[in-house]
Amino acid sequence: MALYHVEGIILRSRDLGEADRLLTVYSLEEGKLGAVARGARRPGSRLAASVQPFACARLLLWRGKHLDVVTQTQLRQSFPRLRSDLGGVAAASLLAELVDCFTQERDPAPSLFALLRGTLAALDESVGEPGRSLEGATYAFILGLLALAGFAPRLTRCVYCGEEPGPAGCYFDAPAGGVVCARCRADDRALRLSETSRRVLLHLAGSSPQAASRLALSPTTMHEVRAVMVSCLEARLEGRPRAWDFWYQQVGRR
Amino acid sequence: MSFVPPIARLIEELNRLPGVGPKTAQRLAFFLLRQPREEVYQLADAIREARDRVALCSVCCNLTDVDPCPICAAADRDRGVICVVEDPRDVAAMERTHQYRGLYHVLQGAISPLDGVGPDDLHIGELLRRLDGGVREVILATNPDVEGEATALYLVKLLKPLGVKVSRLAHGLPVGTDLEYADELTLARALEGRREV
Repeated sequence: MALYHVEGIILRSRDLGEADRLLTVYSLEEGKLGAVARGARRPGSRLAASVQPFACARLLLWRGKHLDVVTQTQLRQSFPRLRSDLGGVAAASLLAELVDCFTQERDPAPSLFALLRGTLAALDESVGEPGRSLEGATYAFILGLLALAGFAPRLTRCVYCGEEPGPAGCYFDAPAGGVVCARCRADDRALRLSETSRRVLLHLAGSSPQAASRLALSPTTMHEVRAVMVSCLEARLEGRPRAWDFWYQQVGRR
Repeated sequence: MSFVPPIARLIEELNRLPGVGPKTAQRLAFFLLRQPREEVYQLADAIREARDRVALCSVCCNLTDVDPCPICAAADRDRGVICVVEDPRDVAAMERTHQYRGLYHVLQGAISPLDGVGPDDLHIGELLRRLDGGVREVILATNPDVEGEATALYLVKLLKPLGVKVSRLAHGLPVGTDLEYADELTLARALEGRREV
């Protein structure tokens, strides 16, 4: 079939040629795919609203030789509040970059699609709401993504000896794959992790993005959790995500 | 098939241009080689002259061959209003309207976290320095896309505490569009900005 439908979230949208957009889409049915939206930068384009980054849309695609072409779209969710907030844009950009980095083309994972869509919805609801934080939802997403990619950090027992960490706290060693006790800690690369932060990480790993966005934490715990998150990503991506610094300026430092 | 070194080098250089693939680069190279020598030299001279003479205006950061640029130097422009745009091409688009008589400031990009472009990579510091000299209003004319909106939100955060009036270009439905294809953000903004007729 030359024409096919997908439900997709736009991860990236780059200018191409005179008036086209080159899209990276994460779809429910086909996983990550590249597509061209012809004329989408022209005022009045029927595709323009649906091919903005972070939009969720039903796309009708024509299978091309190298890249597929978007022929029709129906916008499902545009997450307008998220897009009108600097922190929301920063968080959504981080999510989009991570999905792009952790996935291969045409390798569908419906649970990842649901996680991404649910987290964007939670971020959209949380913008400007008292008692809601963009940070908690972002961390729940990162832990969920790591779990789906097979890199879930071990948080219950020491990755070396299997001992349960005590109330005095433990260490977190991302390249080793999780928490390590004081005795097994091999070098200085492991981060100090209080028992509260470890329990928060466990809670976030099992939380929905909506529930995670309601989590209120002390600055010290948040600092430790943030350090664990970035070390996990750096260990798997061999570098810090490009969107991290802007996310930290707009969300992490709030 | 391999080409002689001068042709191979020309193809390689043309291939570095945006939107030019290997086949297009070959077509362009052989087109140039078939042209009269003078015409090819004219093109080479134009590229060299543009690269050597064009620089950023020290006031507005637009591309110019004289500093300050003709718009910043013009005596008949309103110096109390600055229109902030992303790209020099946006200045040309605004000038085509013949509606705006203020000055410009060109950021030379927009905040794009996915491309690693943050506020420090734009000419925002130069804009803030210009606000000391009796500026009444800053018009934010960045693109109405995610990157442009993020840039505008960042500038609002910086400019509002300085007491200068900050306005944003109107958002709404483009001329000739169908209502059913508009997203809820565009429609909501069109409703917000509706005018009595």
